[in-house]
Amino acid sequence: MDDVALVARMAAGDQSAVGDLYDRYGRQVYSLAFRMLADGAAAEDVTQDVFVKVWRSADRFDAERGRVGTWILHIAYTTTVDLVRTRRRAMPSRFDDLPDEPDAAADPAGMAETAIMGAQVKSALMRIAPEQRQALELAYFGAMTQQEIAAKLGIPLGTVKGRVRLGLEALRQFLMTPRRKEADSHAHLSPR
Amino acid sequence: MHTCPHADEAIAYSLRQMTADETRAYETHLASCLACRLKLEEVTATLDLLPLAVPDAAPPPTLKAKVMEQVAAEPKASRTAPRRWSLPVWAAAAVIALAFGTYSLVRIQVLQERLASMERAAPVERAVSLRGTESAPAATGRFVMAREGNMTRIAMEAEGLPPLQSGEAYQLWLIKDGQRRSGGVFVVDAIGCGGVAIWLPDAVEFDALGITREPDPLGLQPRGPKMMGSI
Repeated sequence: MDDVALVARMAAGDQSAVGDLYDRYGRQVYSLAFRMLADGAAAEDVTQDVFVKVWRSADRFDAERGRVGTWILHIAYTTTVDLVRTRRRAMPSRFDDLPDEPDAAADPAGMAETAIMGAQVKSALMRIAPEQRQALELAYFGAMTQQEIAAKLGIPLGTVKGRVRLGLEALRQFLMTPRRKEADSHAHLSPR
Repeated sequence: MHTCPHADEAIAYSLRQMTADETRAYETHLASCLACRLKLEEVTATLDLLPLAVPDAAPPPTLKAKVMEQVAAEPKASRTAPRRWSLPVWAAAAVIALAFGTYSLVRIQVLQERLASMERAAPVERAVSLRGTESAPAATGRFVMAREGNMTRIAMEAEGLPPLQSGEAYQLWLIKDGQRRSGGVFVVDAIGCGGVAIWLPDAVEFDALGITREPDPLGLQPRGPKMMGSI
């Protein structure tokens, strides 16, 4: 059954569809929360929260605006940002920087498409100028406001805005023009 | 070059970096600005790919049972309305079949093309200078209008306007034979700069322009004092 059909089942009140979507996207949701929080217990809480929100808002999903996976990860992102900010207010020193990237584990079978796309996004990130990547990562994964980034890096607010904007433009450009090797592997993706 | 001076605000909005007031003002602007809705979709589609770059981390095997327990305890919510600026970009079956990362790339490309076509600016048909009334003696501004097919693009930028209170907005009015039609709402930054840039779905005509200070951004007719007018 495809993702959209699962969302329709959820909207009709079928809770088992949540379990099927968890099997497909639970790991990515947990990985994102873990990356941003560096705290397994908190990442578990976020994951539970995300799937409750997915369940509650199934009837708002609009297939014309994006994929189910994008929708779920977007909910995961906003939920994690809110938690990071709440925790930062409570314990500023613990969240004054991005958590270190955890070591990558082996991708399980069945996640090949995501892994290839993930490699393409990672590669695009690495091609961005370092100061732009830093600003973009602090804003996105660090959930920092522009003012917080300016204070942390000791640079003017306008410079932060400029770096995030240019970093995002470069990311988009590099995503649209992957290096040859990635383009080749990407071409082997089979449609779902 | 951006079609709208608010275009870059899509980034702070998508990153949830705006204050509640800024978010409200931006969402009000979105409702009337096609260029910004496209820009927001494009920025969001790009940012939404970043979770794919995160290192894989395995959740505990017990987590699924916890999720299902939580969901079982949740009553199903009643139907809610979708976001009012929801923007279908296409509905092609071939695209629908793509996996979500690839889909996002195609979507970004479509959005970029639409933005680029808007930015190939139509020639300006009418340009008007604006000046402040005695309520805003330092205010100056400029308004331009261009047509493309049956659509009219209007853009206005002002500076030197007084700061607004929370919830208030400035509103541009197009006046024809004494009738006022809204040309969009805007807020101003710390130095009183702000503006609108919107597409209207018809051929707009006007004799004069006015800008009022409104108690909220929702009015269909002016309720607050006139702050600027066409020269």
